[in-house]
Amino acid sequence: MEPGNPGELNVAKTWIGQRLEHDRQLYRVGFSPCGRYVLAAGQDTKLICWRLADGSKKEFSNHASWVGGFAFHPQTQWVYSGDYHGTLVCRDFQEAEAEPRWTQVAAHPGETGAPGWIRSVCLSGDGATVVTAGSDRVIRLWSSDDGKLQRELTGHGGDIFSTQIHPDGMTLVSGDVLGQVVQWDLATGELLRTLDAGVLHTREDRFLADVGGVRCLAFNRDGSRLVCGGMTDIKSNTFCPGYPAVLEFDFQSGQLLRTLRATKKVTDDGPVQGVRVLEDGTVVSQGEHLHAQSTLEFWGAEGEAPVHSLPVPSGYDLALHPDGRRLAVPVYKANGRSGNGRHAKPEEYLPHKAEVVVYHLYAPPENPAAEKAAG
Amino acid sequence: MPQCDSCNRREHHFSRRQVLGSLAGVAGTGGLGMLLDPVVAEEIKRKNRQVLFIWLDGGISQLESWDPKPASEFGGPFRSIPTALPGTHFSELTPHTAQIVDRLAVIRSMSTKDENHSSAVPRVQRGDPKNRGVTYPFLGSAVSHLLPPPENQLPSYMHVKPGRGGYMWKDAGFLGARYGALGLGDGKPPIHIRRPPQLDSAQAANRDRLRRLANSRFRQGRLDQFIKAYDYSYDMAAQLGRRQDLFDPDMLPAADKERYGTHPLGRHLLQARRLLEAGVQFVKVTSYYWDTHADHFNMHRSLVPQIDQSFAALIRDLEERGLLDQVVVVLMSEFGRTPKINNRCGRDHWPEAWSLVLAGAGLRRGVVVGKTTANGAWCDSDEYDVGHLFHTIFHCLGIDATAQQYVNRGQPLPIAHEEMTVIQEVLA
Repeated sequence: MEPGNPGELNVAKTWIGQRLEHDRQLYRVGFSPCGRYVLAAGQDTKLICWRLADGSKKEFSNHASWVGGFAFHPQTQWVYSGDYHGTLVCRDFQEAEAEPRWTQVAAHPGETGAPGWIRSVCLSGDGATVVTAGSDRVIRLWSSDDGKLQRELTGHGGDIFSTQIHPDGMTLVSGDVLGQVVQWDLATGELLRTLDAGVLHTREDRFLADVGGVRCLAFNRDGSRLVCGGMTDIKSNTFCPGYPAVLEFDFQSGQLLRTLRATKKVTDDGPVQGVRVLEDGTVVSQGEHLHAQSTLEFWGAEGEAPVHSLPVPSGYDLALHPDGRRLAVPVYKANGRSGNGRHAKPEEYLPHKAEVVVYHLYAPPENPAAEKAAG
Repeated sequence: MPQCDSCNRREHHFSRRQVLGSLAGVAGTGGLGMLLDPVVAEEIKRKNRQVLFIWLDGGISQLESWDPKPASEFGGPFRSIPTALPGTHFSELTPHTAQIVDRLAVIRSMSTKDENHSSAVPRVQRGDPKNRGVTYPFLGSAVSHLLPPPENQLPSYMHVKPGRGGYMWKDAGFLGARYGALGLGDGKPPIHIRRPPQLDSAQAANRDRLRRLANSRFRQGRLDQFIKAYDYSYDMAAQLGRRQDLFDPDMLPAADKERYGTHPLGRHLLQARRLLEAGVQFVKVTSYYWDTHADHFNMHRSLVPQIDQSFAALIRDLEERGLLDQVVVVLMSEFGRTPKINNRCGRDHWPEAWSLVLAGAGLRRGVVVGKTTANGAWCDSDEYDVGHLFHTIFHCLGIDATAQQYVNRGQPLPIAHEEMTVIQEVLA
């Protein structure tokens, strides 16, 4: 249920307010700027929209492949979603029957032997420019109004996983598989500098691929600090086990301030897939687990020890509600066994499912129905 | 007593001298195949057959390669693309191979038993024989035993692999260490095959005489098969020492390096081409780390183009050189990958329904055999096990696996699973 009056921020009192189920795994999540909706996307090519007040659900089918990223216009009902076939779609996220406002097919064309995936989408602060990035290592700027290409930014040496707009609205950062974070001026397209988060990337001679990368990015409220999620010390390109980490940079100087590790020092786990900074400077991250449960981890504005940790299922993204008091995570929900071999009759062999879990970052109301988060 | 020194190989019945004698008898009288004893003619023909066995260790995903199911519940994010064979689609990660599928035979309905590497790798590479209480040879050892030895003085079974090389005697199973593989770490020759520059040929000959003397003493009281393996490995090194040109990267055209790719798979398949051109009977190329339990789609997006580029280049080169009529090419793993996507965005092991690719001697070109269900999870046609595959490979080499046997310590043993037969649809 949607709380009418969020309380004071208190991450130690975090509780689960809602679980929004879907029958396929979800990898991306975001709250609408109005705060009344949460959208998610994953394996089934749809955008799923829940109304937080009642949990009602709509589905939009405008993609032919998985949606790698989406972002909202700050003032309208438009949502911009990019998929793993390189297609960018602008549509109304409240009108299920409405046709897309515009579609850019092959917004990120594939190269020989590698498709043009869009992995990340964000908008400039004024909403005028849509930013897309992906496997072709090019950042493209589009008019949010009519979908016309405005500019291409080149400078990354590896697949781009993440983008984020600075609170000033016109500074873009983008992170790639090689652990490079590039800062751009959206107005001029100028590459301003590169921050080195290379510890989040591993490539050994025996590997056949680059592993790791900057999986997620976030600024604090005033833009003075930038955090990057991923993992370090990756041991192979098969299970891809590594040491989950969040790097925090002073954005003005580019100096690495902190390397944040989870409470439980698991050095062969999955990467941090979602990271946000709360209004008081608290850094929160969501991990993708390898062996057991992952954690929703909280660190204060200073110091390297976590201030709170919740055991949670494997998660793939992390969204912060406009009220600053809620988080949404798309998590894995088993549907039968995983692992090697069949473990099921053909008719029972079905895809895993997902939940979008909405966490509330304040003391729960005195409501017996409210589900307190474990831990 | 040697563990396995006898079998009913035809080479025992038709020695090189016999064959040459037959040739001399018919010289100048016309085509050999028509005039020779047909069995002898077949023997000569068979002598030229070679095998290239490409092993993607860990399991390439059938859904991200030869049997894509886009927009299905397990299909993943990739597109499928049309191939040179109308109606056949591959994953978009394989654009180069898609263009040469008219030279290939693709099997999409492999269904095997083992879901773990530890059991599946040896079982598949040994041909999944019934349990006979013996360790069967890997395919390369089997072929180098069953086919007459090549006349090029090169090791008959060479294994190009990442990491270290060395002599891999365990491959040979009950055949004995003599039929093991010479491993070429990173495609490079064994170390120490070069004669030290301060040693002239006379000194080297003296040194070799001393070695032989010591060996004859060492031989006393020891199993002959091990001594033979020592001798064989030493002779191999000596032979390779005379063919160091085969390993000189400077002798490869830059354009070839670019076409195959500078990644390990590209370099190793290019090295395999050189070895095949030189006449090596069985060349195995292994690539590790295909076992993508996590971050599968990012990993396969990086991995599959590597085999796609180099494999397509190799098939084209073999065809241009006339070797595709002579070499049996096998591209496979120990199993496929689960259609179901796990909690790490990975795919696990899936022996139920997977794909492999064949090409070359004795094989149809441009054929796709078998199909899977719409979600890619199950075979939807006749299933084939690795026993069928071994029968088929042997058939292409001119070996009748239903008639020929190993004899180990007097025990006759089938060379391929006796309850299975060739996959007729892929045969030329």
